[in-house]
Amino acid sequence: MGIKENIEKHLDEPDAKELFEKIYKGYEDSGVDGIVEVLEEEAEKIKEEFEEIKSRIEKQIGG
Amino acid sequence: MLSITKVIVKGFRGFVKEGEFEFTTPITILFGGNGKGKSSLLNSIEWCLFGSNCIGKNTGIRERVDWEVKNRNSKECYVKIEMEENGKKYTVKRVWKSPRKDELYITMEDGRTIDGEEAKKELIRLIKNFSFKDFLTSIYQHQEVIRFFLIQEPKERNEAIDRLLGLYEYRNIIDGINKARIRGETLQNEIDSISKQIKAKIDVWREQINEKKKELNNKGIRDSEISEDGARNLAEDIKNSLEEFSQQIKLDLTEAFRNADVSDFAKFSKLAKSEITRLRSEMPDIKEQRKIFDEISKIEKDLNDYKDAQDVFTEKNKLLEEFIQKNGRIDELEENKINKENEIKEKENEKKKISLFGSIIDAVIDYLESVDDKNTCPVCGTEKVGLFEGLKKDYEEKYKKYLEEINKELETKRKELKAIDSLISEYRKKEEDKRKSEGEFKKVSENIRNKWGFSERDDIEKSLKNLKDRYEAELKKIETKVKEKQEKLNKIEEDMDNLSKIHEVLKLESQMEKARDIEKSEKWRELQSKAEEFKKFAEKIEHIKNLINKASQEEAKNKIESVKEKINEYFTTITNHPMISQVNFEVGEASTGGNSYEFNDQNGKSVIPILSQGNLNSLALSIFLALAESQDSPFNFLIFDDPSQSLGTSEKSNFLKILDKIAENRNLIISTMDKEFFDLSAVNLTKQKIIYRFESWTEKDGPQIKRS
Repeated sequence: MGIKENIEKHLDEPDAKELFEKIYKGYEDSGVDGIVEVLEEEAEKIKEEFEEIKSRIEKQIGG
Repeated sequence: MLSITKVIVKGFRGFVKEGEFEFTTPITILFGGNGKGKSSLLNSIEWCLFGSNCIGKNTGIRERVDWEVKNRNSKECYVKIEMEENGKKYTVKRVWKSPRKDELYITMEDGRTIDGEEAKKELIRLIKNFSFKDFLTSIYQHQEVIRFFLIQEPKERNEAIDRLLGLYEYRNIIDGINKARIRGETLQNEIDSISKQIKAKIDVWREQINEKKKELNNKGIRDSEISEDGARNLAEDIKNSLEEFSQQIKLDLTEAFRNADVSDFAKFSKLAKSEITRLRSEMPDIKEQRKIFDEISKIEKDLNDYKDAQDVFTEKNKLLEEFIQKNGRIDELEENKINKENEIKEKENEKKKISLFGSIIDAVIDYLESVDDKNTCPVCGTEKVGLFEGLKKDYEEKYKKYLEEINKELETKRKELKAIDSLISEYRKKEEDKRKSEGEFKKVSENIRNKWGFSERDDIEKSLKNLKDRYEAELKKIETKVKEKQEKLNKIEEDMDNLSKIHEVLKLESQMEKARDIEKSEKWRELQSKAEEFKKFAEKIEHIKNLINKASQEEAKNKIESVKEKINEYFTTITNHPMISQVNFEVGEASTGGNSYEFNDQNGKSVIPILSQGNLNSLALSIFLALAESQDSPFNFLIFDDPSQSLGTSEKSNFLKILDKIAENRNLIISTMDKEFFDLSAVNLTKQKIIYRFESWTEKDGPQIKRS
């Protein structure tokens, strides 16, 4: 059994499994830096919406 | 099982030229110092079989980061391995094309050569899907793994054992996750920071409101007037004041201002300011004031021009008078000139006469010189003894000397005449300068008289000064009127300033209210929900990381369980340690995550603190040998790269004895720089062997090798 399967058998939640698959794909494609890229991209998705709301609020504070 | 029979390598790493190596005996020893090309040969086997999988960070081998495959001095790079399995021969050749590209060729037992995807599939079939990771764990003992094993730091040793057990990919993935630095609290921290910003802003605004209110109170504005109604009333007052003022100065206000809505502060303020500026500049008194200013400026200019022209004329006149005083009047100079000219004429006549007489004597002397009779005068025929000599003497002494004196006098007189001429010219120039300056002065005076209506009898300077005094008195009167009006406008402007401040207070109060409501708004809730989502995302990553650690630990446990007896056997055989009769290999979890390995003795105590560097290497070699034996490998050979690091003599002999036993079934390729280990191998390795001596290495030719 390969490393991917060894880890996947412990992943019970579907969204954790989905995220791990992305991480592993990043690793397969570009190694350690590929993982960083995948995670930063996922984080960016949430951050982008956060930043949009934040900038609107900051404008309000700025008066 | 696959065995390697021959390796041909060119342009790979330390190799420049083509080298050919046979591996047809149970044991092959590569012996030579550091940097002579031994590891390049071993690495070439890896690269030929696994290509780019054995390069870079993901291999878990630090030396493989930025690894250059092709030798810089070689035009081409390839590795060819001849292999044999059950009597069938295969040749695998990998050719380097670029850092990211290589080509694979396999020549099959029937002589057919395949390439591309077909060759890749065939190679996977030949090596029975054996991965590079498996190769590292059970075929190729890397010197870097031993080196890290010998380091006393637990973190480095755990990493080396992970690599020996083939678990480095778990570490790589965890490293990648850690490197991404996803912190669950990041967005919540930002929200906290915004919250602080809001509070800080409210405090600043409150402070500004209090300051502005205080300023307004000091100007007589009550707190009750600092309101929407108060602002409107003040704007009405300003509008009325401006209307009243405009009527007073008989100027109309613009229609836009008259119709301006006092509730629209921005527009009203702009229009009012523009009206005040216009009234200030168009006020009739101001216009009159400007006109008088202009007149005074003109008088001052004329006064200056008059004085300048007068000064120039006075100066020129003075210069002429001084000249006359010194050199005489013009009529005197001209009389001097005539006298001097007459004197010169007289002298010239005198010279002419003497010259005529002299020329006759000169001609007689010339004649007498040419004839024999020098005593008879050729002019009058008189005969006189010594006539020629006498004439000659007289000519030299009297006539010639006299002529010289006349010439001298003439020269002096001509110089005197020239000096008189020069004085006359200077006189005429000074007279001309005086005449011109007098003309200019008259012209300026005439212009001023005409301009201001002065008579010929009026003193211009005095008249101009009187006129200036009159205008200045008039100006003083107007200034008082203008000042009164400006003060009225200043008062309106002051009201404008107060109105502006009231609006600033109202605006700040509104901003403060809005800021207070932000944290109760729907947007704020959305922001918090995103921060929560991010926190969950980070927790999910942490959860995955824990599961990776768990999987790694589980795999480590399974592997250790299957080889722990063998490790114990090899370790006790190699070291023969007096205090350790048994070594137990256990895996746990490190406090920082990842696997932590322990080696305990027969009493359950850790053996690491009492192990020497040689003992530690023996332990690493024991793990490798045990794993190599337990794996179901497609290869019948094992590779050892510098295995004797820090081993003692007896440990080396014991290890070689184990290798000799393994060599009964598997071929061994052993690379070493250790002379003692090499010498001991001659005694302890009893199987047939080929020895390659790596004697030297040059940049141009690569390794120099001798086979024995």
